[in-house]
Amino acid sequence: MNQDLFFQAANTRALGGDRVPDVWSVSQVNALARELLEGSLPPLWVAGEVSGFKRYPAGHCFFTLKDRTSQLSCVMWREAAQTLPAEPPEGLAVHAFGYPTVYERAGRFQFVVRELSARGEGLWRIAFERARRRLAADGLLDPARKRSLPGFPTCVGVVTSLEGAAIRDIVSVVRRRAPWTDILVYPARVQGDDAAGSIIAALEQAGAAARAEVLIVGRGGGSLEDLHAFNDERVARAIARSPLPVVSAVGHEMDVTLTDLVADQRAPTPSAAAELAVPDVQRLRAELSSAGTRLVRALRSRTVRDFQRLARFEERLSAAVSRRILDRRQALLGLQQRLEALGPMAVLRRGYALALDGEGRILRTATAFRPGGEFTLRLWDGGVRARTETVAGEDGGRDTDTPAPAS
Amino acid sequence: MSKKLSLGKAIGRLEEIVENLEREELELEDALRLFDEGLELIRNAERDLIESEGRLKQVLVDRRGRQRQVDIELETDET
Repeated sequence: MNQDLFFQAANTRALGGDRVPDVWSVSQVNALARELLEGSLPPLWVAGEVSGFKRYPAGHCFFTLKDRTSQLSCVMWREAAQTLPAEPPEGLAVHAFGYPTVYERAGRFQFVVRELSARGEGLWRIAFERARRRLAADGLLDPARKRSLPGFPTCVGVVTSLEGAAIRDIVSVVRRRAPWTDILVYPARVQGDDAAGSIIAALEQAGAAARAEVLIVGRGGGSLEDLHAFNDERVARAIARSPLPVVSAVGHEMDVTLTDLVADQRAPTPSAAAELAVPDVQRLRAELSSAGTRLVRALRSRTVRDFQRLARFEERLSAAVSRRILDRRQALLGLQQRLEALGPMAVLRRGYALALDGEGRILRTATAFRPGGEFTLRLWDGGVRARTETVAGEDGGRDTDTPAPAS
Repeated sequence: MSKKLSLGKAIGRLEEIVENLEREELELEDALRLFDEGLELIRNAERDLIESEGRLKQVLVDRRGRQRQVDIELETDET
């Protein structure tokens, strides 16, 4: 031990009224050792592997740092331990920042750790993986849980800070794309120790009011530590509980946050989230006008179809009618011809004559003639008055419709 | 509010109408009725797009957890 340091400390005590004792008490030795140690070694970084990490109910954490040959007892008081994203697993290689001291009551040499950072993947990654596994085990990462967003929200809720760039980006995108949309801001602190609680409270308010139809939760870009709250398992669970569909909008450097995993949709930036949340007025206009065009076209083609159908009917109708008329005419013609053919004139022309008695009755048989009786011979172009000379028996007298040949 | 609410529904209904019209089996009378309804929807929707303007509000919560909305203004890049 450095003699100068010892006397210096002893003199300090003497100046303060304490006598430098001849025989030291245990507590005096421990106190002095502590003073000497703390006074001589500045805060420093120590590299080692964590062993036997234990967190006590009061929040203080104890563990051992090891290398190949030595061990160092470490304590992390509650304040410092609160910043740990996860309890370091056994054997994790870390850098611990702190100072060596003596725990006076136990006379134990120990290292008070103010900050612990993991090498390699880091404690954040470890904490993230653990929380992700728990969320997955509870089914909260199931793709089937993802709700679809309302296509045309009347009101968009935003959980973020009023101070950040995120809200400005979101407002300007919504105003540009869907200016009719109401925006409700549920202000939340997005960084700092109370960020997680603040975000959860805002989420719950938005869910309870159910005034918005979709929620955007997030913040603009930030370092990994700034995004702490969005990797908080409690925040992730609050998002999973949200009765409103949630779009996560955490501008970040790392691949993904827990918030992203649980949200119904994730966007790389607040602006992108706003684009997911509201429709684009230009696209809507185009859709409306195309609907109009389709409407007119559909009706027109429908009417044209009707007209064509009508025209076809008309054609068929008139075809049918005219065929009828033609048929009739032909039938008439045929009848006339048949009538004429049946009529006597055609026969008379061929050289036949009809014998008619005084009353105009046809004398069909020889016996109908009386000798000396008068009758008329009807020829095709006129009649001839005639008188019966004699009536010959012949084998005539067949009763037939055909006129008897003129004698 | 109800006007704006109708926007999403109007688009949905329009889609229905157009699809119906594009199928054949409608009576001409029904087709005309649908056509008129469609035109009306388009006209209203276009008016909504132009006329209605959303508001930006902040939600304040009092100690009892009651929520209140107040209009706020934010400076955005867009001017």
